[in-house]
Amino acid sequence: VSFDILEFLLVLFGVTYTVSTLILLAISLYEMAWLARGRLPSKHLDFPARSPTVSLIVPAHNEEPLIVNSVTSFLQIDYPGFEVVVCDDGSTDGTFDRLDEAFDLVSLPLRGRTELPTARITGVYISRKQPALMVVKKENGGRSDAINAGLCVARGELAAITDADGILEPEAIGRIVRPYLVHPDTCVAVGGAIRIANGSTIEDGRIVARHVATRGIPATQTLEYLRGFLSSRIAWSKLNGLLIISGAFGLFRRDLLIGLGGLSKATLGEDMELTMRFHHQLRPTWKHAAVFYVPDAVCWTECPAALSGLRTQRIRWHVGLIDNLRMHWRMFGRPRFGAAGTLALPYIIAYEAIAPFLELSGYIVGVYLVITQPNGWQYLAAFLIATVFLAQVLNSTALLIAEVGAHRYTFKDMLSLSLWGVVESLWYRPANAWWRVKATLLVLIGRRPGWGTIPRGVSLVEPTPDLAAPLTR
Amino acid sequence: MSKEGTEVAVVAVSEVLRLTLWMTFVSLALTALVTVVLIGHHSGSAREREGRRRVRGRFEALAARLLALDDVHAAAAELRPVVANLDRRERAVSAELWIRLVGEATPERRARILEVLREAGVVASAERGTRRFSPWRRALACDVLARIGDQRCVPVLLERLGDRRPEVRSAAIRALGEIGSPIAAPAVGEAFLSRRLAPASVLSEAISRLGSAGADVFEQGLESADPVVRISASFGLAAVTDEPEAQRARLARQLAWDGDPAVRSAVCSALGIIGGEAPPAELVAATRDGDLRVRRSAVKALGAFDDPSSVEPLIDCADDPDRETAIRAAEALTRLARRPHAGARSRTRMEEAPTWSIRYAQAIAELRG
Repeated sequence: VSFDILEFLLVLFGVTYTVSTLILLAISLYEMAWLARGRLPSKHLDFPARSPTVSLIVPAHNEEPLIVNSVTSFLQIDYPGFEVVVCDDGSTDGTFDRLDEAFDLVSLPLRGRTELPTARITGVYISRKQPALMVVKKENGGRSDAINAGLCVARGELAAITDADGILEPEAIGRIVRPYLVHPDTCVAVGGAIRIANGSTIEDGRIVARHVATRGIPATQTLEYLRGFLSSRIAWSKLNGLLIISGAFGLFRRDLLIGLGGLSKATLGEDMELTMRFHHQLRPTWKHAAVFYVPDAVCWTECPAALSGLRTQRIRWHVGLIDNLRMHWRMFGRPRFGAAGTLALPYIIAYEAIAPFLELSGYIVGVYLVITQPNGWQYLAAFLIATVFLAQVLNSTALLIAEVGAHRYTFKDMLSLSLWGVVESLWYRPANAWWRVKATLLVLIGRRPGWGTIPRGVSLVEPTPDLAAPLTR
Repeated sequence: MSKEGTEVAVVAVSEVLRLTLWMTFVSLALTALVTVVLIGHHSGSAREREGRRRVRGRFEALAARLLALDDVHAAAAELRPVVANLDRRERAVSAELWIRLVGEATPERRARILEVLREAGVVASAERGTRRFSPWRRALACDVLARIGDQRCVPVLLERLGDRRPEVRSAAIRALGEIGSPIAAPAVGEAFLSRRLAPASVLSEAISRLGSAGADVFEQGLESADPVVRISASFGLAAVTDEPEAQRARLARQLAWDGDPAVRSAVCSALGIIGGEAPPAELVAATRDGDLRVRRSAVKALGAFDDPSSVEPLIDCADDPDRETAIRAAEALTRLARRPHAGARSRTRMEEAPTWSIRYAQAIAELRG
């Protein structure tokens, strides 16, 4: 009987996953073809005389080695009415001093209560050399807290958020703003595409030669990001059911973001939580509120290159996912939240939260049958072959979407990605499934991982509770 | 495991095996298909790019030579057979070339290019293009007609308002706006008021180019029950700058009676876009509005009215408990300090009451200008 149930679940999972994913892929391919043809209306917009002003908010914690290069690169972005707001989140190294030396910072008067509670802000500065740069110096409060402080000090109508180690393409802001220009009455947030920089050549904070990393961990993540950002997000955006805007690059209406309380400090997946909150709080009363995704607004980022960093990141992401599902489960299946409630949330629960258990059980049952049954190896072989080829359908379609769009790779890189795609079902997917199951079990027994140390990024401190303080000195 | 249990397991395994093999087969077929398409696209797109580059080079040389001719009719006569015999790729490349040439030309040169293109039959070709199967070609044809700006194309573009693809409808609406024909006003206006066919911003921009007919549509929009239409109409009216005095008065009336704070906030912003000398009393009153959004928009807009009476309400707001309102008021004062009528009063009052927000705004203005 247990095998019947497992069989039924595996079949149901396999068929529904394949069908729904193929539908998403078809929608994405069609949309990408429009984008590539340059025939989307947004592509034709010249910036109107009064474009919305944009503040790029960059949280930074102990980023001394790279902060000046990153900020210099951000300041070169081509957009009228643009400012960069760096939030030094209580760095204990020389992050602020490097900024002061490089950009000659001038202190601004501090008064008035910030609209969002944040850890105490100790200074707001503007650069003499680059007046488009503002720096907020504050006590440590975590990534969300730093961004919230930046939101309060920023002056732009729109707030773009990125990380200090992110590399934005020069046209990225101009592109990510376009949905807001075309749909000012409905656009509440826009997500940009994240691409993996490992393997590419970076000079002066710019990607000068795009290549895929040769090592398995970053190469497989490159493929995974392609699948995620090109295969599904385009389609979810089209259906207005996009539930995540990556924290590495997103654009929001600043007043709305502040009105909704800024980024949450109660979850490890604050970027997804924010996007879900947009749907949860706005859709019932603002039916047409829409979250967009722009695949050609690109931010490059380095992914973890070692297994330990990847494990920490994935466990943290999955705990964040569970947090967010617990916070926003009420949207499940309810038409008042549009596709976000009726399609996207069930999809995420089934294929992100529950699927790792089924996937892992598939591997375990396979091994069990090999040990206990004379023909058990056939099951394991069939399971692995099916997994490999099913994954290859998704991988090759993601590569096709990349090819049709602006994310072209050379034949050599495509071949390399395809080969890593073939073998990922043998090591990467089982490992990922195990980390996700482990993360779920951690949540169920009430234990939460810390931020851990990922040797690449920012935001390494878990937020401390209630650090609300007036913006005074 | 018992013998019976083992048999159940073996049956289950064989069924799972059969199913997985089917899945494998289907996946393999799909992968092969996608891979073939991928390789074909990769190779084909390289050839396509090269082909387009060649065609573009040929057309650019031809266009440069023909447009340098003094005789428009001779140039058109030479271009006509070329236009008539374009293939699919050449049509797209030439359409993009015409759009670029017209867009980059000076007004005198533009008139001359348009004359040549009209006489050479590009209008007729683009009109046929609006009915082609491929939606992006239909949209591209609408763009060409927009650039050529021939009033005779309006019926064809109006026909495209019924296109099944939103991108094509948007392109047609933008083209109607570019051409600026009042004949289009009823159809585009109706779409704007009922929020159909295209995003409100696209419709609003097109209507704002229709002159007085457009202003009438926006006036009707201000009466709409839909707050989004009222907001779009406010900004639209601000963009139609034919009669600023009348538009200010109409918006001020809207500000006085509209119960929706989002609309009032938009009306304040629209008043700020029009600007002027004496600010409407309704705008000054809005700086004390209970809604934060309205207050913020009002203080910002007040900075666009070069009148000493703008100064005192802004000084009051520069100490507003809301940080954003205080900074916006201070920024507005800093802006007024550079204006001829309100400048002296603004500078004096800022010196007398140097709140933190004023010092903040001055420091930023000093560096950012």
